[in-house]
Amino acid sequence: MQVEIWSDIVCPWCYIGKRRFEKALAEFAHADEVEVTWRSFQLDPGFAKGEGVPVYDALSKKMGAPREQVRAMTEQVKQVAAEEGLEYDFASGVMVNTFDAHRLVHLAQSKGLGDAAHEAFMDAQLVRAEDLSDPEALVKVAVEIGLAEAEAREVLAGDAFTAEVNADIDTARQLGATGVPFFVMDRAFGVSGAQPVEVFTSALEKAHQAARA
Amino acid sequence: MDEQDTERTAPRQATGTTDGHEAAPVAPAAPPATVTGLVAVGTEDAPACSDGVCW
Repeated sequence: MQVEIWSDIVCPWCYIGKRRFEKALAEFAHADEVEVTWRSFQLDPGFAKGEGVPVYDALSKKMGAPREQVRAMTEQVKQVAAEEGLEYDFASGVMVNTFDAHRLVHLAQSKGLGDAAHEAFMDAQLVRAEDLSDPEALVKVAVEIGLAEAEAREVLAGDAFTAEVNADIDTARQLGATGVPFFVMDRAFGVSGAQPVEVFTSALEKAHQAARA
Repeated sequence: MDEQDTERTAPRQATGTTDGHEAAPVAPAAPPATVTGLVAVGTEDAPACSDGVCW
């Protein structure tokens, strides 16, 4: 079974959804038959590259809401994340353009490290509140998951995997995904959002049965 | 599983008549923006992020 997951590095619900999906997969009888592929998606493709803006400032500007109101809104997501063992740090967090991070995830995926890469970049962004607009921060994460530093730097210096990232984004649009996380099983079943674990379990079982039919 | 063919074309439509002359037909309507072919699993209002908004 092929499971494709569209997700963005800066997406708090994506990380929560990842945890819930992982819980479902851990209990799935046929987990050894499941191959997971992370697909790129950008929530804010127009965000300036190389620029990091404090999360509360970025959200306050985007939503036209006072900083304190933004802080209150993010608190709810933080609580849900904490229930999944994720300690988000929005106070220190920095909003960035995630395209280069996605290119590094694709590099990692080419070496069988896609899941580790997506996990590491989301951890860096949402929990450790690192500034991923800084290429050095991106390289540091890449090295942490086992990628060669020189190769990561080469990717960032060029345009490798640009087509792959764009293709993922186009496919999401074609599949009707308007938000992330978005899970697709065998291009037959779609699960949108950070659903409860039971929903992911149901989707995995439905896809498994359909594949055997 | 085969991917569904998402290509569609709509029939040409005439806009009606003006001054006794038939207006030129308009271009075919654009295909639907999304044709997923996916079976949705779960609730539609599960939390997600879109357009940079996650809250």
